[in-house]
Amino acid sequence: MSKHLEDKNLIARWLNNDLTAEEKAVLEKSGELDDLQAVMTDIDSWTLPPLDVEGSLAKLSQKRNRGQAKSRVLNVYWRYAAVLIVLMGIAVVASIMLQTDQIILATKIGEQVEYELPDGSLVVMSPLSEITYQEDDWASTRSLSLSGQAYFEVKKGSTFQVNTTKGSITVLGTKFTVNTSDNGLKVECYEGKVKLITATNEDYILKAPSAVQVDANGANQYIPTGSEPSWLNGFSRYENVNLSIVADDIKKYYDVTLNLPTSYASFKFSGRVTHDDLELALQSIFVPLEISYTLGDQNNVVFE
Amino acid sequence: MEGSLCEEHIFEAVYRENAQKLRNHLYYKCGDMSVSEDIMQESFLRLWNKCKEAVLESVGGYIYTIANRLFIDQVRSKKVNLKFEKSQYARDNHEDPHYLLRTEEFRDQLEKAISDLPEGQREAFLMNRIDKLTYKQIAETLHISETAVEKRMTKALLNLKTKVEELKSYKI
Repeated sequence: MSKHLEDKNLIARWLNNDLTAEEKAVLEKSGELDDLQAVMTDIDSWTLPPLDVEGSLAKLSQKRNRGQAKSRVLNVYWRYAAVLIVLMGIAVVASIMLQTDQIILATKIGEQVEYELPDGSLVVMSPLSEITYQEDDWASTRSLSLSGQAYFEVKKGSTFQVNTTKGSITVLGTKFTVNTSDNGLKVECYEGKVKLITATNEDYILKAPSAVQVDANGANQYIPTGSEPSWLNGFSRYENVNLSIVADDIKKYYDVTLNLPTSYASFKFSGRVTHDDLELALQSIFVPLEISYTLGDQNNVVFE
Repeated sequence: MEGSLCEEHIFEAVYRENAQKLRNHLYYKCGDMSVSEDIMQESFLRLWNKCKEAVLESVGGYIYTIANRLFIDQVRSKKVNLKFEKSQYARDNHEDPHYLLRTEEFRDQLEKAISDLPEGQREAFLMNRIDKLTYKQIAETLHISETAVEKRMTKALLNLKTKVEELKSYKI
């Protein structure tokens, strides 16, 4: 019945005032769109509640700043440079004050944060980790300090350097993880090439896939499994690792009190531990090793 | 527009220009105002994180692409119930030849008919009538041709015309 209205999108063009004089005359004569016209006049007056543009923009700015750095601290560092000016025989000392913008990122227990550095390089921080860097000349000097653990995807560009108390890692453009703790330093390279110089001045060049672990016992080079660390995906994988290290990690991902008896500290553990379920995580660690424990109401683990 | 989206004042100007239209567009798709606002805000957050890659001239279309991807991820196809704010007509004014079309019941039914339109027809129709976008602007925003927009409008209008006739016949 209304095939002619569909032809050449006549009805859509009618609404848009895009008709030939002829087409217009025909429709007016037939009156078939009169009711619809009246309805359209009504619909055209309908509105939705207006958006509070300024209010929502303010909220967005807050989210932007919060998402960018869990704790953003602006430190003003004053540096004094003495300049001697001889002016008509009078010596004048002028001081030049320089401001620098220092960014500090810090994650809490159980918190894993993805962050984009000013050049687009990506860093994913594990819980209880801290990164510090200078923002203003990032493009030319890509250097940051790390404590804890972080995974990096570095865009090609100027030399990228990660400094830790146990050593410095220099990169040109690649994907790698750095893990520092009181006991040592671990660097895994999944793509590209990194150079590690330890605090004791040992050099390692890691060309993916390659990794090195340096601790009190010495250095252990190995091939990392997978093209990215498992903890990016919500679990940790361990292979023949001291139970004390696994226990330390549990305390970073979960807010739990756990004092591992020294007799268990050098038990070797291999397997997966989830970051999302405390009971399941504890079971997967202690049940295979036949270690008895109970999990109390205040998230405290008690061993027999 | 000169400059880069990574400059805060430019980003904010883009927000001011596009936020409400985008929120409305999402509302037309799902009928949930708070979900629409959340997805709208999240889209701008993601736009900010990609500010270096964005081209200012086509940023309007780009933000809709981001929003639609988020929408598909987050919102499963559910029944849509749109509600609009309407002006009051004088009740039962029988001098108005279209008085049947002005009753509250009729308008509620009309609202329901619009909600029941297939999503593509619904979003094009409302962007045109409520947001006052031209067919050309709708085509650019949704990344379809102007003819495709006309087709969607045609189908929507024919659907509504049928509904209007149906509702009117109940009254007689």
